[in-house]
Formats: sequence, C-alpha cells, structure tokens
Amino acid sequence: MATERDVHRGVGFDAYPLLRPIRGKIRAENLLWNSLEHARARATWEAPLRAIQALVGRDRSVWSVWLDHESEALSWEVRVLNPNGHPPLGILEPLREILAPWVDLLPSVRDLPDYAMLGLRFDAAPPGGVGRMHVELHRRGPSPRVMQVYRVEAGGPRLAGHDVALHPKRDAHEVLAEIKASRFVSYSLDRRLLGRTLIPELFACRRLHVGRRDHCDALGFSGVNVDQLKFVHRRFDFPEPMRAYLARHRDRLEHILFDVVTEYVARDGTIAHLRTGFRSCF
Amino acid sequence: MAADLVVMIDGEGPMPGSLRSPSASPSPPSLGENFDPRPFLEFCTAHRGAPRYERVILVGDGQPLEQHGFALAEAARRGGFRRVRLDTRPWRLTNPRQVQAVVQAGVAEISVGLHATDPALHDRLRDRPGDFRDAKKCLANLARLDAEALVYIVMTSANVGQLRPVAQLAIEAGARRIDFWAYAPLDPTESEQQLLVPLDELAPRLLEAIATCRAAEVEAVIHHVPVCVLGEEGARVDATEPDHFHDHSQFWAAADPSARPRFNCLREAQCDAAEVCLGLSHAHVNRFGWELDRLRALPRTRPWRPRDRSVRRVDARGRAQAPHGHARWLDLLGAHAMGVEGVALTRSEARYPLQMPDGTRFVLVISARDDAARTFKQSRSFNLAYTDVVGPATERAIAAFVGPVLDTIIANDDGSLSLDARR
Repeated sequence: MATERDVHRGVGFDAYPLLRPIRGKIRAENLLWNSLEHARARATWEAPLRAIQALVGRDRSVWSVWLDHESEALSWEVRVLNPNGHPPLGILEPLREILAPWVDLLPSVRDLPDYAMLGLRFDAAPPGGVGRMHVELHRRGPSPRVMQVYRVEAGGPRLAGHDVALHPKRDAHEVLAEIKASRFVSYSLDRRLLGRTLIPELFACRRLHVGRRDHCDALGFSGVNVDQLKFVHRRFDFPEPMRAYLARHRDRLEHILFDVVTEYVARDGTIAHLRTGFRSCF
Repeated sequence: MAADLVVMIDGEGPMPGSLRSPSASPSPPSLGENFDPRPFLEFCTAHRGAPRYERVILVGDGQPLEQHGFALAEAARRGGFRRVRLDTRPWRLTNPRQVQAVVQAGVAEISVGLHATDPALHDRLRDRPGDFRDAKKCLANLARLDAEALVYIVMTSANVGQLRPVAQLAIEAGARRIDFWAYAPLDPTESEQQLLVPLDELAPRLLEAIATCRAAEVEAVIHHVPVCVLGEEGARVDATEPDHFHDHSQFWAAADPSARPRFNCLREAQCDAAEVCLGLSHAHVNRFGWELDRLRALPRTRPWRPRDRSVRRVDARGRAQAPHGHARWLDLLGAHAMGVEGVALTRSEARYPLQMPDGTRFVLVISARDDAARTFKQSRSFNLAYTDVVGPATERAIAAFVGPVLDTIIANDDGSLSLDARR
C-alpha cells in the first residue's frame, strides 16, 4: 500500500508531485512485481531487488520494465544514485557486496570514472539458470541537460549514447532540433514520421528525454499519468496479463506520475519501435 | 463556467462533432435503460431561482426521450433556461405535427447534421439509409415554425470538397447557424482514419464555406481546427465545452474526459491563441504528423504557464512550502485545500476537483468576475461555480457541501490573483 512517506521520483530522481490523495492507493512497485511474476522471474530477482532497496533506501531507486518488440521478451533495469562519488567504484562497491549471493557484478573492474547514476539491467534468467546483471553508468554531460550513458564491461566503460532533458512545450524548438538530428530517421522524407516518434498521446508530459544510442534513437516521456501508461500498454502490446493488472488497479495508481521510454529506428519508410519501457521508483 | 448545460437522456442521440451516436461506438457509454428525470426536474426548480446557464441541450433518441422529453423541455423552459435545444436524430422530426408539439413544449433550437449534398454520401457517413431525406424534411418543418435550425457539418475526406455546397444547402433550408466540426475520432479504426483531412486540404475549402455563410449573414462556428490556419476567420473557432448534467452514477461514462478526443500543438507555449485553440487531435497527428509546415505561433502577449495538477504542498521531506504559483490558488481555499485533488490552471479558469463523503465528484470552477454573467456566487475578483457532477448527491446536498468552500474563497480573495476574462 502507498503511504504518506512515499516519495515519487522520475528517471532523473527529481520528486514528482502527488496527483491524488494517497488514501487507498498502492505503490507503483506492484507493477514491477507483476511483470516479474508474468515472466516467472520474481523468484530469481525479488531478493536482489529487495537488497538494493535496503541498501539505498525506500524510494531511492528507479525501476523500469522493458518489452523487446522483436523477441517479445521482458527485461528490467534498476537505477540508483551515486552519492558523492565515493571513488574508485562509487555505489558499485556496496552493490557488489550485497548482490554477491546472487550475481557477480564486474569482478574485474577496479575503478570507474565519476558518475551520477548507475543502472543494472537484467532479464529473466533461464529456468534453473543463473541471473546476470549488466552495468551502465550515467555521467553528466557538457551541459546540465545532457546525461551520457556508458556500458561497463570487463574492459571498462564504453560510451553508448546520451539523453537531453527538455520541457516538451516550453523548449519545443530544441526538442524538434534534437529529435530531427538523427542518424536513424530522416524526418525530411516524410513529415508524418514526427507524429510516430513524438507520440501525441504522450506529449503532455513533464520532460522529454531525447536520446541517442549506438543502434537507435530513444525518446523518454517523463511524468505521464496512469491513463497514458494504459495507452502505452495497449499501443505497444504489453502482455495481456500486465495490461489487465494495470486496468484493474488504475484507480489505485492515479496518484503517481510514471516515465515511458521508446527506442526506435526508421525501417521500410516508417518508424519501427525496438523496445518500450516504463518506470517508477521503489 | 459554460453557458450551456447538456443533459444526456440516452446514448442514442447525436454528439456534437460526431458522425454516429455514442451507442454506435465500440465502447458505448453505459447510460442505463431506466432514465430518472427527477434529478433534472429538481435542478430546474432550483435553477429558476438562481439561473446559471443560458441554454440546456437535451440529447437523446431512444425510448427515454420519448417518455420524458416533453416533460424535460417544459421543466427547462420554466426553470430559467433562456434557450432549450434538442439534439436528436432527424427521423423523429419528419412529421410536422410532431415538430410543432416539440416546439410548443419549449424547444427553441434543434440541431441537424447535414454532411453532404448528395444523399448517398450523407447516408454513408451517418451509416443510416434515409438520414439525408429525414434531415431535409426536418429542416423544412423547422422553417415553417418559430424554431431555429442549427446545422452541423462534420468535415471529412469524403465531403471536404462539398463544404461550400453543403453550407449553401443548409442556408437555403433555413439554417440560422452552421457549426463546422473537423472530424476527430477517438481511437479510430482504419476506415475512420481514412476520413481525416490534412490541414492544407481542409483550410481553403472551409474558408470558402465560411464566406458563403458570411454572405448570407448566417452565423458560422468552427470546431477542432487550429486558429492559425484560418486567418481572420480564426476568431470563429470555439474550443469551449458545455457542462454536463450528471446526477446519477449511470451517466459517468458519457462525462469521462478520457472518453473524448484529445488535442495538442507543438506551438502551444509560443502561441497567443493556445488558450482558445485546441490544436490538432491525436488521431490527426497520428495520421498526418504535427503539421509543422502549416501551423504558426501567433505572437504571445502574455507568458505561457504550464498546467500543474499537483496536490503536494510540502517538499520531499514533508516541510511546508511557502505558497507560490499554483499553491497560491490552493491557499485561496484555506483549510478546504486539503480536500481538493489539485488545481488545474489555465489563463481563464482555475478548476478544483472535489469529492464528497458519499463519493459524489464535481469540479469547482473559478473564472474572472463578470457581473453580466450568471453565476453561483461571486468574490471580489471571481465568479464561483461548480460543474461536472458525477455521483448520487442531490443539488441541495452539493450546495450545502460547497457553500463553506465558496465562502472561504470570498473571504480570502484579496484581489491579488486574477484570471483572464477574454474566454
């Protein structure tokens, strides 16, 4: 159940306002557990996730659920802040310790550059198999609006892309310039393409995160309400049990703002969405 | 507060800007079969003493309309509404004596959809054979009586080439006003998407039709078309919505805002018309894109303010924050602010959703003070009213509940907050 102590955060860890009185509401993490149950992965990942929550504190990490539109597989991410740096590994060091019973987190990595956030990506482990987590770092870019994304592998961090955070309406000119400066979509070829990436049903949000990845573009819609999240579940064909769960609990989640991210390329003259995710905190 | 009040009698009547009745949609609103007229009749009694609305719009086409329509119209006429309008399908009004009876009951305006000059296209758009013939008969009957025919035209790819002739046909049939609605389906099917019209095709043909109306001195009103593509005729765009009368939970679905088309514009923050213009429907953007080549921002005379629907008045650590921005609008309600679900602020209105202990929900609406407008109460700077009632509470119970809230606003309104009175 949701409580008055809950703090609702977006991907940038800034607090979201409360949209409805908290009485009778539930916490957004129920959507996370529901998705893990649907993928039969809760038994594998609940204990590590609870350990992370115990380490960093309640409502001080951000989870996301991703749907790969080609394989139809779900995957997940947990993102935590790296408070004050703590070199040489920052938050990775205590995470490595508390997650040791379940996963080895980059045992060969000895030091990392300073970073703002750390993301742990994982998917449903094969039955009887061992779960694996992949590490990403998020570092402040040349301007406060830019966040650079690094994938960390045994050889060290590798730049994988960046995100620019903008207000959808006030910064509309910059939003358009950033979206159109794409390596993967030629918007000048078809003016309709912008309506497929800058999705009108999600445009009314608090922040847009225009992203570049090494293999696609990304667009994050931060601060969307539960009805917009329902739209995303329908529009991007999330598994029916997850859609039904969200529909059933819609009224108990209307107090929260969520984040949605789409990753896409142009293919055969239209936009092909590769992955779609949604986020909240726990 | 809107000047018009809609009473949905059943789900069979035509909705403004729609080609089909709500009951024909894939997810028809659950209006229930047993319409109870008593809440509206009670409302009329109260409204007579303190009129708030200019016009009541009775919408229906089913058995409940047959059973209660005359009583509702007569009650509305006696209940302080200056105009009573009926929105029904034209087949009901093909008999001159029937139309005469409706007019004698107090109905002064009847809206009629006319979507093409040729019967086959009109009937196809309405998905009802014979509808064109019925619409023309209905208009002919109205022309012989002291009732105003309000014609509406839904503009689609199928009829956009006929807009001027359709307007001419409506004028010749006696229309006093013509409403032009750009087709804006909610959650459209593939065939419905095909009926959408790009702006570069729509705007010039719409302007021709408007010129025809102007020449005939017939009022023309435009809905769901961006102001900036209409030049001087942009002033004809009406983005307001009537209030809905809901005194019974069975009506909630028809009033559900998420069940209506939604709109957006990428130029909103830069455009002075943003508060009077909806922009493009989501269906339109999904089909044609954001139309950036067509839309242009009209220079702003006032700064743009993003909407804020938050209820939080403390910071992340639970400390109270000094009131600022939207919090000042919450402070206007004093202790009652803790009972509202936030404030939605536009240039012209502050809207506070409220819920009563019995679950009845409504929206408290504050608009700029206008002594000429009818309103529930007034403070130094504002007209105060409530609308969008959903739930079982009676009008009297709502008035008793909201009274102390309004009195607090009146006491706290020191003139330091203001709203735009232009719309």
